[in-house]
Amino acid sequence: MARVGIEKLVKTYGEETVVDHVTLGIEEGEFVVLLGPSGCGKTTTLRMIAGLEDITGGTLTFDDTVMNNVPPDRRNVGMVFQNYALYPHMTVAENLSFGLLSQRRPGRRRDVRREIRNLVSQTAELLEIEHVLDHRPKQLSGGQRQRVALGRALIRQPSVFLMDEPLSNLDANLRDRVRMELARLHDRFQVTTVYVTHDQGEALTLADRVVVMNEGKICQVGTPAEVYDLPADTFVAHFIGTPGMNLWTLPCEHRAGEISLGDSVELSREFGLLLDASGERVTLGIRPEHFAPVDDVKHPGAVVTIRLELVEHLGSHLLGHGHVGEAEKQPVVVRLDASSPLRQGDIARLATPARSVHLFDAESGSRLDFRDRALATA
Amino acid sequence: MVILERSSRPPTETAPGVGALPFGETKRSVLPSWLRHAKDRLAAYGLLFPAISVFTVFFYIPAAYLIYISFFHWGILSSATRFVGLANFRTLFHQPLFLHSLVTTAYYTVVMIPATVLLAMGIALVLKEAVTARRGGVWRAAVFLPHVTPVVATSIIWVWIFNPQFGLANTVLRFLHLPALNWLESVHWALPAVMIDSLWHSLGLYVIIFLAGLSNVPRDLLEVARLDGAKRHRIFHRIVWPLLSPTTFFVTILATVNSWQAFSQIYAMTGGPHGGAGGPAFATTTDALLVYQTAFIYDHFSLAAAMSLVLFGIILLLTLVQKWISNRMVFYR
Repeated sequence: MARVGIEKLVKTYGEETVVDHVTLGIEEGEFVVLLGPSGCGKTTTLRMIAGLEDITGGTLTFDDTVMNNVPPDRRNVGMVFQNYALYPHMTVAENLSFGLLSQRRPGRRRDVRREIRNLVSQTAELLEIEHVLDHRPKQLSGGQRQRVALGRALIRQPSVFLMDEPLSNLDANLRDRVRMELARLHDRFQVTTVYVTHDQGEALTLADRVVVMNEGKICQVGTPAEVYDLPADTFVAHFIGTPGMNLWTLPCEHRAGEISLGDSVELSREFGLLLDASGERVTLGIRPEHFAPVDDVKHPGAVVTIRLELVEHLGSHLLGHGHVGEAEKQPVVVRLDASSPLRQGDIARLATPARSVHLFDAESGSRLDFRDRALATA
Repeated sequence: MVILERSSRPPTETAPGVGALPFGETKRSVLPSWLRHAKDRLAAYGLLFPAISVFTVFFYIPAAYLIYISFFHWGILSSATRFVGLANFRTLFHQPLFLHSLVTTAYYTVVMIPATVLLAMGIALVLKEAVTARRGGVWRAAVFLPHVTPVVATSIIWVWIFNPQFGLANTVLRFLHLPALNWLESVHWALPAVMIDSLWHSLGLYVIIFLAGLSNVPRDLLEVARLDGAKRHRIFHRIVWPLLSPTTFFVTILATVNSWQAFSQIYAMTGGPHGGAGGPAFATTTDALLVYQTAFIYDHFSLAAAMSLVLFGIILLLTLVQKWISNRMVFYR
């Protein structure tokens, strides 16, 4: 196990900057997920950690040792690729043992081979693939291939485990199962893991910490609860959650101690601390699942008038699509109980508790926080 | 729940037009199925006709006629045509020159196949590894260029290169402090000289084929192997080489067939235009050359036809042996 230090990491291809001054510290045994949309630089960051891409700028360290120019085979990292990258002409046993046989191991040749055979059977047993050891990858199911890929990375007992969207080629049911197995394996071996995905479900369920990336930069680093409950900016707010957070940029007005945003949103007085200038535009964020009937919320932070244009019944819940504000007509998605009487064409007043109301700067998109505002005014 | 205004629309209403037709239903053809199939077949044969007719006129009919005349005594200039059974084949195997030509061709093939495969693969690997993407096209074109030049024209240039007095080949040998050779005038060096020309001329095609094969080796596999700690030679030996085996097999077959049919460069380099091809002292008389000479110089077409059939049998046999080996050694993904 190793600590991974990333300091102002940069990767450019010609004029294009793909990874832009990324700084991140990963503790020993930690499971960190790099999450972001396609092209955000997460895979490139992972490949730089593996040594498969040259580092343009910045520093990469494993346990305080600078690894920038260390070749991949000397980094002791295990990597699982998106398409498994199993050697198609080798059996499962050969795939598992290839890495061990490629390294010089001390001892007599016969003893080394016996040791490798034992390691292969132990790994196969752990991943429940001992019955397919003499099969070729073509003869395996998606789940079995995935396990072989995991086993091949695990068998070398790497100090850092890297995974590049390892579940994206599996069907939904299998993905859930393998995800649980990954969590179990990490609990058991506690190998420092960097996992790349664009699937927030995987990120939130597996990670000790989630690193949300966009356009080559880190937007937020935090526990799954932190990135969900306290998104640092509008990108994270919208990216995390299914469907993403509703974000409306509306003019703010103070009237006789009451705060309103546009013609359809009323905010509780406590938000006055954040919104001091009347007429200032602000971005309000509320997650679809945080709407409730006005009567059910004791201390509403926001009350919103919504016109519903489409109501989808999804079994366990309803998903309503519509808009907020007659003048601004900002789109909204609400998630409500399956028993809710709301239907297409209704105009409804829904409330959100204060802790679930998020305010962001309309220009920069960064979160307006009570603590920041208090510091600024002090 | 505070509902300010209730919709007048019933909750089950769907958008107009949605669900009007069962999903996936397509308009059915009014033609009966046999007529539709007949139309398809007619179109298929129509499209195949030009190719089939060219093949029939220039390949199948001559091939069938070749088999036919190999059992006759027949020549363009000789008026009498008579059935001789297997006499032509018997004559062949009692003719020392034919057996000598078989040995010469085998020698040519045995040297050419490994040289072709190793050099083409080596050049392809170098081009793949060392040449940047921007200049890659120029290098690939440079390597491929000899293959598109007329073999007879370039062979004449090679004749000059192998000229014992002022040729480039001997200049290089002298520069390396090696003894000069008589090349095309030597019984021992004439065939190697032809081989060098053949290699130079044909290598470009095989390099391109290997480059195509190499581009099919997934980058991920090479990266995994690097992460696994495999050194370059192990990556080549255990990953690249097995994944290139179908390409290698294809190139081997192609090189075998081309070697057994080698004619133009030998004809041009060993004095064919002056009537003395295959020398000196039959050192470069391969099967194909002997077939030509027997038919067109000595006017014994039926014997040449029998030779061609034997040549065909040898190539077929070699291909079957290679196929048998490939079933054990070639890995198809």
